[in-house]
Amino acid sequence: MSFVAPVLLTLSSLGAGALLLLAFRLLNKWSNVEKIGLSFALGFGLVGWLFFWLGAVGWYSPEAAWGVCGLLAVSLFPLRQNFTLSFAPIKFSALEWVLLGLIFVALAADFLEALALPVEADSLAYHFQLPKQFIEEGRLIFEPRALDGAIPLLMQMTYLAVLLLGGSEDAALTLWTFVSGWAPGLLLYAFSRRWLPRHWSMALLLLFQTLPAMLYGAGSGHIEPRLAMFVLIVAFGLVELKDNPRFGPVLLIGVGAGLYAASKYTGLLFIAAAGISLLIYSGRHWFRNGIVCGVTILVVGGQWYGWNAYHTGDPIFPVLFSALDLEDGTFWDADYADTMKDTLALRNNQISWWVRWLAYPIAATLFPPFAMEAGRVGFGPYFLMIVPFSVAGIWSQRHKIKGSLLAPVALMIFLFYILWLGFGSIPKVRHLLPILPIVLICLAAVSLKAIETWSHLRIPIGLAMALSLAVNMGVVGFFARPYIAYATSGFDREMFLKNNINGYPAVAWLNQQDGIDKVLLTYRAFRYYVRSASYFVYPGVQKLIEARVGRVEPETFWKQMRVLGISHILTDRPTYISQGTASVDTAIKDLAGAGCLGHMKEIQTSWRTSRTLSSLGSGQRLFDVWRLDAEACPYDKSS
Amino acid sequence: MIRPVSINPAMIATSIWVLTIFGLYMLQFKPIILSLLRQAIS
Repeated sequence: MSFVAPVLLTLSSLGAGALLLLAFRLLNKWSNVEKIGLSFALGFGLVGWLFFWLGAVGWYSPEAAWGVCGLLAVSLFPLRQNFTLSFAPIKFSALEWVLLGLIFVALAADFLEALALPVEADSLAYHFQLPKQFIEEGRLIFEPRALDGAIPLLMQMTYLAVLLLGGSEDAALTLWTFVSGWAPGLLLYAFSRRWLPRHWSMALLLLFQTLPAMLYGAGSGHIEPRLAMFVLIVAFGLVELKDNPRFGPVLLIGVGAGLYAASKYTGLLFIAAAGISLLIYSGRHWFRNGIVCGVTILVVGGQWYGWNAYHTGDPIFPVLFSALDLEDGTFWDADYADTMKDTLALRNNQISWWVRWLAYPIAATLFPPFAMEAGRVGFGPYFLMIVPFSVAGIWSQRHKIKGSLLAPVALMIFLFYILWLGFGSIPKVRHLLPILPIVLICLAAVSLKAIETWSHLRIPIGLAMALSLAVNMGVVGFFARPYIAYATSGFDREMFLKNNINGYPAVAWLNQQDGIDKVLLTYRAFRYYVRSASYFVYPGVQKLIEARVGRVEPETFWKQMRVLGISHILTDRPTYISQGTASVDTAIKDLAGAGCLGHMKEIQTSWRTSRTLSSLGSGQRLFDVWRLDAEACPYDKSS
Repeated sequence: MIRPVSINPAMIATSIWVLTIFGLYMLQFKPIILSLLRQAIS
C-alpha cells in the first residue's frame, strides 16, 4: 500500500490538473513536458483544496480518499490523447549525459530518503503530525496554535490524502514528498526550455533540486519547495497572457496565486505581486482580468482564512487580532497579541536594516547571520557568481527587455522580494525558495544573451555552474549518508530514529507504557512519533496552557492541563522552551513538590546539533516522564 | 575535439569573480571542512 498510495495520488494530481487545463482551454497549447508538469502542479493543489472540504464536513476516511482520488485518476484516461508521449530515442550530447547521470544520482539520494522514516523537526512537529491528528479525529479540527497550527494547510492536506490512501504508513508519506519534491524541478525544466537550450535547462533543474535548501526541505515535506510549483503556474499564465485573449491565462494566474495563499500566509504577499504584474500587463483589460483573477484567488485560496475567521474572528490568526479589535477569547487575547507583536518584532529585527534592504543576497550567500538559516541549508554560490554575466546580458538586451515575455514574470518576483523583505517578518532564506526557479531562469536567459554577444564569457559562466554543481553534489553525498546507513543496516527502524531524532529514546520508552491518555510535550519533534494524543506547550503561540516565562503559576498550570485531559508530561530537564522564574520548568518542580506529579522515568539521551554533520557538536540531555496524580494534588481539590 | 580557447580580459576578470565568490562562499564552511578532515585523518 505504501507504493500504491503515492502512485495513485500522482495519477490523481495529473488527472485533476489536466481537467483544469481542459476547462481553461489550455490543454492543447503546450509541449508534453509543460502539460505534464503543469497538470501535476495544478492537480496537486486541487487535491489539497478538495481534502479541506472533505475534512470540513467530517469525511476523512480511506473510502472517501480512494473514491475522490480514484475518480480524479480515472479522469486522466479520457484525456490521455492530449499527452502524445513519444518513445523515439533522444540524442544526448556528452555534457547532457553527464548531467543526466548527476540528476540520477540526486534522484537516487532523495529516493533513499523516501525509503527512510520522517526525521526532520518541523515535519514531525506539524507538517506530518497535523494530518495524522486530523485522520485520528476523522475530520478537520482547528489547531489553536499560532505560526504552525492555525495556518493555511493546503499542502498538508495532500499529506493527509496519501496517509489515508496508504493506511497511515510512513513510507506512503515519504514517497509522496519525494514525488512532489521533484515536481518543481520538472516544471522549472519545462518553463525554462522556452528560453534555454536543453543542456542549460537540465543544469538548472539539477542545480535547483540539489540546492542545500532543497535537499533539506523537499524530501522532508517542507512547504517552500512545493510552493515553487504554484509560482511557476502563475509564470505560465503571465507569459501566455500576451498572446491569449481568453480567460485561460488569467484563471491560471488566479489558481496559482490562490494555491500559494492556501499554503502559506506569505501567499498574500505573492497575490499582491502577481496581481500588480497582471494588472500592469493586462492593458485595457486590466479591470476585467483583475476581477476574474481576484474571484479565482478567493475560491481557490480563501478556505483557510475563512476557517480561521470562523473559529477566531481573525482570518490571519493571530496577526489581525488588534487591528480587528477582537474581544478576548478562548484561543487568544490582547495580552497574547502583545506578546506575539513583540515576538514578531524580535524576529524581524534579527538582521539590520541595511543587510535586509541593501545586502540580503550577498549576506545570505557569503556571511549569513543565524536568523537567515542559510549556510548549510542555503542557496549556494551560483546566484552571486552569475551576477556580472546577467548584468552584461541585460545591458546587451536593454532595448528589448521591456517587451520580453519574461518581463511580467520578472516584475512579479521582484515585487514579491520587496514585499517579503518589508513584511515577511522572518528573514529565513528558504522562504525565497518558491521564486528561485524564476530567478534562475531569468539569470540564465540573460546570461545566454551575454554569451551570444560576448562568446568568451561561455567559459566563466560554465565554470560558475560547474563549481556550484560540485558543491551541491558534495552536499548530496553528506545528505544521503544517514539514509545509506539505514538501507545498509537492513532498515533498522528504531536504530535510525534513535540516531536521527534528538531524544527519541524518551519517546520509545513512553510508547511502551500503558494508560497514557494525553501527553504534554515540551519538544515539538516528539509529536509525530508519540502514539497517544499530545499537546505541545510552546510559550506565546497558544493560550490554552500558559507557558510564558514569568507568568506560569503552578495551580493555573495544573488546572489548564486537567482541562485539556493531560495525563502525563514528557519534558527535557531543564525545560528548554520555558525556564527561569515562574516558568514551565519551575511549575513542574513545584507541582512535583506538592505531590501532583509522580516521577515515572529519567531518560538520558544523546543530542546532536546536526543530523548530517555529526562533527558540529553533540552532548547529552535529560528527559523526565511525569504522571499527573489528581488524587494527591491539592490544586485539584481546590477546583 | 577540443576547441582552442582565446584568452580575453573580460573572460579572465569574470573568471576571477567566479573563483573569488566561490572561495568566499566556501570560507564559511572552513570549520566544518577542517573538522571533517581531522576526522578523516584520525
